[in-house]
Amino acid sequence: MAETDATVLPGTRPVPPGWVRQWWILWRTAIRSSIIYRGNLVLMILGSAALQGTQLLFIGVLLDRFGVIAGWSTAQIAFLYGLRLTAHGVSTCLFGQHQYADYAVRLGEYDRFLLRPVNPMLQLLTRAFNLGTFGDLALGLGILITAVTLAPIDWTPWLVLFTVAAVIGGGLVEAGLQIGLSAITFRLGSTRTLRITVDNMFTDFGAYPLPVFGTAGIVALTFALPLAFVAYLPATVVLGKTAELLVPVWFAAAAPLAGPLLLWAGWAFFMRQSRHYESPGA
Amino acid sequence: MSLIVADDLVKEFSRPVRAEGAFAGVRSLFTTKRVTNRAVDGVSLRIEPGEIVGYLGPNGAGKSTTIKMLTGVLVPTSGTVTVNGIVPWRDRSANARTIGAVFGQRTQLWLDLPLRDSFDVLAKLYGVGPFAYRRTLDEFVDLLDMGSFLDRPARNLSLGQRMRGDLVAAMLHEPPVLYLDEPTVGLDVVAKARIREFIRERNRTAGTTVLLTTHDIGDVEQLCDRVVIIDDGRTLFDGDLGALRRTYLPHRTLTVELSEPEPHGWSIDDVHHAGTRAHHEATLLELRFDPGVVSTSEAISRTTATLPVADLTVREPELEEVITEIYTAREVRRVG
Amino acid sequence: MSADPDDSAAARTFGEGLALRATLVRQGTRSVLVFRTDLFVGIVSTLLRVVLVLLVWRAVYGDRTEVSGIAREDAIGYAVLGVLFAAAMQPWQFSSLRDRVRTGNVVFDIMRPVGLITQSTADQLGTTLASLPKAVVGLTLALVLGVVPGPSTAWQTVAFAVSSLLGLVIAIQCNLIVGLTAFWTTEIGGAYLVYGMAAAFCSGSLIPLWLMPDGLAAVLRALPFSAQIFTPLSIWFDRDPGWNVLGELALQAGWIVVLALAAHLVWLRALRRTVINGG
Repeated sequence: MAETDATVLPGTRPVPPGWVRQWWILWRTAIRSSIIYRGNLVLMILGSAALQGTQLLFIGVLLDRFGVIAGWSTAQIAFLYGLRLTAHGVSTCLFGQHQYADYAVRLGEYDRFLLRPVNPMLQLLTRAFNLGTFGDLALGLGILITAVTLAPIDWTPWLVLFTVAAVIGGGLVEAGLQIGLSAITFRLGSTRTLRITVDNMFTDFGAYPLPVFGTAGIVALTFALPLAFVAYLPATVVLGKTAELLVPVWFAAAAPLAGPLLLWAGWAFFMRQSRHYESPGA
Repeated sequence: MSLIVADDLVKEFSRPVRAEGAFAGVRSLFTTKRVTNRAVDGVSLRIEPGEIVGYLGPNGAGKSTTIKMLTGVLVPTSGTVTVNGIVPWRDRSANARTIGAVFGQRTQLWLDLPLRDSFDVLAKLYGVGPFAYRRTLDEFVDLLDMGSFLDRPARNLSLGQRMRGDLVAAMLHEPPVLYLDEPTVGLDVVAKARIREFIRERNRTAGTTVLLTTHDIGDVEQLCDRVVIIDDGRTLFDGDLGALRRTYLPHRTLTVELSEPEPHGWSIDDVHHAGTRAHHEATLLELRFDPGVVSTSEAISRTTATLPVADLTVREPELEEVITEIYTAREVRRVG
Repeated sequence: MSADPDDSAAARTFGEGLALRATLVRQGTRSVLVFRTDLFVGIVSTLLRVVLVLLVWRAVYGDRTEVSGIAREDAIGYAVLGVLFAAAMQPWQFSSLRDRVRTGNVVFDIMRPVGLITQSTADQLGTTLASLPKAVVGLTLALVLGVVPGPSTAWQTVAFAVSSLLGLVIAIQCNLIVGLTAFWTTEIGGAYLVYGMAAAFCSGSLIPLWLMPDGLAAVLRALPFSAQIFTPLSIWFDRDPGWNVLGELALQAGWIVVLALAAHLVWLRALRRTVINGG
């Protein structure tokens, strides 16, 4: 039989565009789909906000009665909260579909990702879009901006840039961690509860300055669970509270870099584990 | 070198064993025992460019698992596979550009968007130029008669319409290889005919190589030059349809309509009486002979010499009979 | 509970019905325990919440031993018990009612011999039972850490136990009523979340009503949520539990009656309004 290359590949085969363009195409499509099939958008955003709202109420009542938490004033707590929530918004807005990794892998949706010339994780993240994530983002920004007007911060261009980097980096920390965890679904089945627990920990513990949790807590929440990198460490830098840090100041200043690092690690781990994919259905 | 080369493909799946009996639920939390199932047990395959190969087997035989290894969806436990020199599970992107795949139960369309939009997105993702896209889409829509529902959301399409949509979606980038997993299941006669015509057309004009798994004999008869039969994860048969018939049912059937009532105690050398049935007012005799033992013309002349023949037809065994025979023999093997 | 129009009690023996209900409770239990990770992670999550709440309240009190008349140990103990109650009574596994309505499978529920309400209730009971392990483990940790005070009198223990059970009943009723709204809007994931969060906060599982601003506390006392968790807990932390405790129990009983009526009304409406959504 003749050489296959000659028979199969004449000169002009289509060449897929780069991953950035592919991401943009899929992202736009997901948003368009979500607008068409939006269900009750108000309720979605409401639900998203309610989750945060309860915690806000709790902290609000605490501050009302006690005035100060571990030496952080109301405005400073608000800044911390706003920073974490906005980072969370970045994570869920751009990477939120990671929570459907279970679903896609166990119900075979992942098949189609493997059959296209596009990175499967990219397809997973753009399979759909949850309009409600804008709620988290908006709420977080609202709190952050409010806190900024209330708290006495010495703003310099560098500090502004740093805050933006912290928000993005914080979002990437959360995303990278969750993506890495969702990789376990290839080996062990459902990881939904595990990921929800991590998510809850970020929400519950992330609202407070780490000294609340004692030295053991601080170490655990910096190196066992990278929560500190999301908001606490950057906040100490912006608010000038670096004196209470156990780690060196440069470490806190470099916190936003943890984001891209963790995202890369989580993504790589996911792709590695995907070799164990067992497409369901005969 | 062949286009698709698979050597000794093996795929094992392992599951934790569920405990039985008292407190089964709680004990399952602590079990670590696993059971291994070999879905594919050493399948080898070589497919040349331009072939249309049918892949058959009873349910659970390992057809879908094989196709998933060929398309790169599953990584083989052992064995090798290359498609146009590419290892599918390793070079996914390169492989994706070479193949198109339609899995019967799963769609790759965006359900909430109009069908046309799904095509647009896919064309862009694959890098199909606007001119080629326009030309290809028009051709396909025409061939499959899809103009009437191109703008409907995929969610609202009937099964037949959605299958056509998936077929087009798989072919937009004009891949040289097409995998189809049960493409006509659940479709009505017209839809089936359309899809088969499309596949034949692509094979003829573009030389698309096709591998299709199916339970539908019509698919096999109308499309396939060659058939591979798999059971229990192993290849039972690999050859063309003629060879299939000869291997499993090496006989021809002579249907004879008598002009007079059947004579008593007749017999014909090397021709066996397989059955009798009534047809309107006549009697039809089904006779069988092995063309390796007696030639067709000889069998016919012996028959007309012995019986009062009004009309006579010769036919090869139906493919359906052949397949049934194979599946039944498997049952016999299982039980016996 | 409310009477089910579907229960044709005459057609079945009491024993049969009981067995059937027991099966449903078991099924509810199993649905939560189905994945091994679910159970372990549920326990870990509860332990974490206990630790979190303990540390936050400790930090918030700082060096003070009392704030607004609430002693530090009491605040911490309350918070920890609040977490455990919430873990047992307000699990995230909401009744599968919503999904069943959405897929239309609810038709089978309506056709089954045991009424839909009974079934949902059994479902919830099962879920609560399945959540008990993590509550118990959390309680063990709390006892080991010594953050939960013991009871003052036997009467207090009895009253507390009764009140907790009543509170559980109220929680189930509230969940049921919210669940029934699935017959009206099938896309109510958001509504469930809002309800869940409102219940968590208003029930006093997060903060005792004593520490809330007065206006807010008054409003919350008027809602059934506080009767789920705040009432039993306030009995536990009452320095001098006397006859006033009976008042609280009566209030809870009152809520049960009101909610039973409300559930029945909503159920009748739901039957009338049955909309089957094809899958």
